[in-house]
Amino acid sequence: MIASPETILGCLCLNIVSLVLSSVTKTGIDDDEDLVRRSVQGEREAFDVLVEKYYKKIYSLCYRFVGDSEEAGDLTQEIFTAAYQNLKKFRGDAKFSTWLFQIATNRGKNKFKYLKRRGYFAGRVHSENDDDRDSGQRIIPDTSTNPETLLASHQMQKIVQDAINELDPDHKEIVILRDIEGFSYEEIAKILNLPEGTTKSRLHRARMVVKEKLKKVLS
Amino acid sequence: MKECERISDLFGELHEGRVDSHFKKLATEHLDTCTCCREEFKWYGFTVQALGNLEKVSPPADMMVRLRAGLYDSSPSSPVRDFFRTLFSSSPSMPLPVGLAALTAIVVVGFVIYNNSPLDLLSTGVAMTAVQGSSVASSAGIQAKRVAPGGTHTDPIAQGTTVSSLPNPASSPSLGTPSRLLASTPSTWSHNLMTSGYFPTVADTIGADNLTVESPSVDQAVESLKRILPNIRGRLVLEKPRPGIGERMLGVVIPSSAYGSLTTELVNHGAVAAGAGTEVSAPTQSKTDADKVILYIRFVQAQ
Repeated sequence: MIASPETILGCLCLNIVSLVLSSVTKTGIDDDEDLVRRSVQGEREAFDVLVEKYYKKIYSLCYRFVGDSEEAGDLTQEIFTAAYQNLKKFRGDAKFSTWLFQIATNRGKNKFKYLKRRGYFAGRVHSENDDDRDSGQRIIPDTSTNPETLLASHQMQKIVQDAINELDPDHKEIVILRDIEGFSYEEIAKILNLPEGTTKSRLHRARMVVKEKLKKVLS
Repeated sequence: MKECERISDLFGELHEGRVDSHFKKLATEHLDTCTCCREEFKWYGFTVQALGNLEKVSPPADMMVRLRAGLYDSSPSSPVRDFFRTLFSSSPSMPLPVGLAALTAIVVVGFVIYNNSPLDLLSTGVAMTAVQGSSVASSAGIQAKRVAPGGTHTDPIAQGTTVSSLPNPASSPSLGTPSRLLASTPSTWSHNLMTSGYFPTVADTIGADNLTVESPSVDQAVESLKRILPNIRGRLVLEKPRPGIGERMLGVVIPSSAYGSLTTELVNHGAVAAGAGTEVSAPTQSKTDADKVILYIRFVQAQ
């Protein structure tokens, strides 16, 4: 039986579609899947590779939550330990990185709440302000300088960090993820397990709060 | 103003260029005309820029080494330990451990209080009343010695009066006359109190309505008691004759601190203090506050 040209064409089209689909889905595959599988099987080197790959980003995230290198180091350690110990529970529904950043965000947020409740940030602001006064430096940067210089200045960095430290935890996490760490809305939605619309509106509110704080300090 | 609010709500989209061309045109027109919104939008952009310009922080050089050391130094996980770790680390502010500790403390304190509660005291009311009674009897005994037969006491009631003593070794019934002071069991009144929801006070445990005075002359004994009352800041609240059997029931309110004085005085006047028992507790129920006690005293004709 000889296939008609229409049938052959149809088969070709189906093949092309399946190729396209497979290439699209290929991009969604977790790069870390193999490393995760090997880590679960007890291969420490595989988990080391994962740690090596993500620890800088995780540390940076932690630092933004707690605003202190020592605390950030401890928090990073805690996050990777938690990830390692719970690796068997990772089902692979999401990417390993999303799962890891979920752990990091939750832990960072909790640590931030914990420190904030104990007046850690208020104490730091006061002591640092006192230090600045002692050294004869101005707290408020000179707004007459050009924006780039202003934004890059150490004082400005401190003002911005203080402003985000004063945010409530939900606002803080979203500002860190989007504006500081540069995650996409889709990634943030997955990490925070929120609809994308909620993510955007919450980010907007958080930015407005930071804006008011900056206005108050800089005006 | 509403337009300003709408524009303000879309600062994010405007800043990131996520609005369609039509809305972008409208927003641009508004921002051109509204100084306030223009200023706010500038600050919004400045804020996003400032956040994005926060310098990247680098972990300490030995971070990776520390991480590796921390990761594999920790002992392998066990389900039980994992459970508790999750439980206690889910919130670093530790409300759960604090809550558990508080709950334990409450349970322990509650248990201790329950074991020493007044209700528990009531359940052992006989013993308590006996103790109270013994002190009364002791003082009564001491006083009775002073008015021992043949003494100089001339109160008419004293004549021919017998003094009762508690069936308690602590009492001092060493009198020349046969004496009998019965501790009444407060089981009836304690039951009444408990069922009526009345919370007993210390005054209750002294034992209201539990005195019986045996005297050859009930009238004289009653008159004597009435004379005593003003001295101890007490007052008569009930006087109920029980015709036919020659008994009289008196209810007096006295300060609980004067209980000893009253019984002493009764003995001093030669009265017989005896447990009224459960048979008289039914018609009356003592009510007390922290300072006062209503005492029901039954005067009976001495045999």
